[in-house]
Amino acid sequence: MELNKDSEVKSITIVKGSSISPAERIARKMGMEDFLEIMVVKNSPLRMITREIKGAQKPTDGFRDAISSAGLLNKKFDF
Amino acid sequence: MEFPKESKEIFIVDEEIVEEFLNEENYYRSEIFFNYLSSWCCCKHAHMIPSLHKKIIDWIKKETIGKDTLTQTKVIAEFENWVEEADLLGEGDGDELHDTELLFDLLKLIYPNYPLRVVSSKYKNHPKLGSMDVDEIFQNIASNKEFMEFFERKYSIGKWDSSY
Repeated sequence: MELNKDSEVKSITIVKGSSISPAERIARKMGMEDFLEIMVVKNSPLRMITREIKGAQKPTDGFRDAISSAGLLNKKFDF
Repeated sequence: MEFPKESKEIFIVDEEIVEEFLNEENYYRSEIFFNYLSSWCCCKHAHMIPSLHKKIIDWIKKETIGKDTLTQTKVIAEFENWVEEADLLGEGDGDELHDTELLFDLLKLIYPNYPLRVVSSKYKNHPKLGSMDVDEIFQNIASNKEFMEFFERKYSIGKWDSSY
């Protein structure tokens, strides 16, 4: 779902398909090797948003996308 | 092949592997490391001493001033998913070596049978920490044939040393 820009992401948790229930895996058409991203958000119609990370998508892709969106690519820590 | 593997390794990292993940051209070693954590390790994330963890979050906030709340909080939440603040230290005392040694001792006590690995170039010659730099941990993971076969198959990529 589309989040508005005032939404605040409180946490992101990524779990393996193998660690969720078989029924949930079937409902989401997920395999044991896939992942489920659970995002807790404030200022959003939904407090908890889940997304399947399936097939060739890596669990790290969201982190890379977030870094890119935040303009942090190629930046160096200066502390 | 049995899946998932549940390696019992536990990792303490510093800022080096996170900084490498920011690199547009050369992030593959840290990407492999983070994927190894999520796919192959029971711990799922690495530990970081609190003072360093706070520095990185403060740095993200500083560098994303002017960005919207969603963009800023999402990148922080992603970082926290992969690298957990070792809050069992409380705030730590801010001395990186001291806090890393303390965290190492604590984790060793809690998980006596789990291999504990420190990923940092700062403590390579430290008699207790025996840390590995990013290149060494990458070589270590890359030598895990079973994991690499899984990774290359799952994400349809070639061998890391030829075309990845």
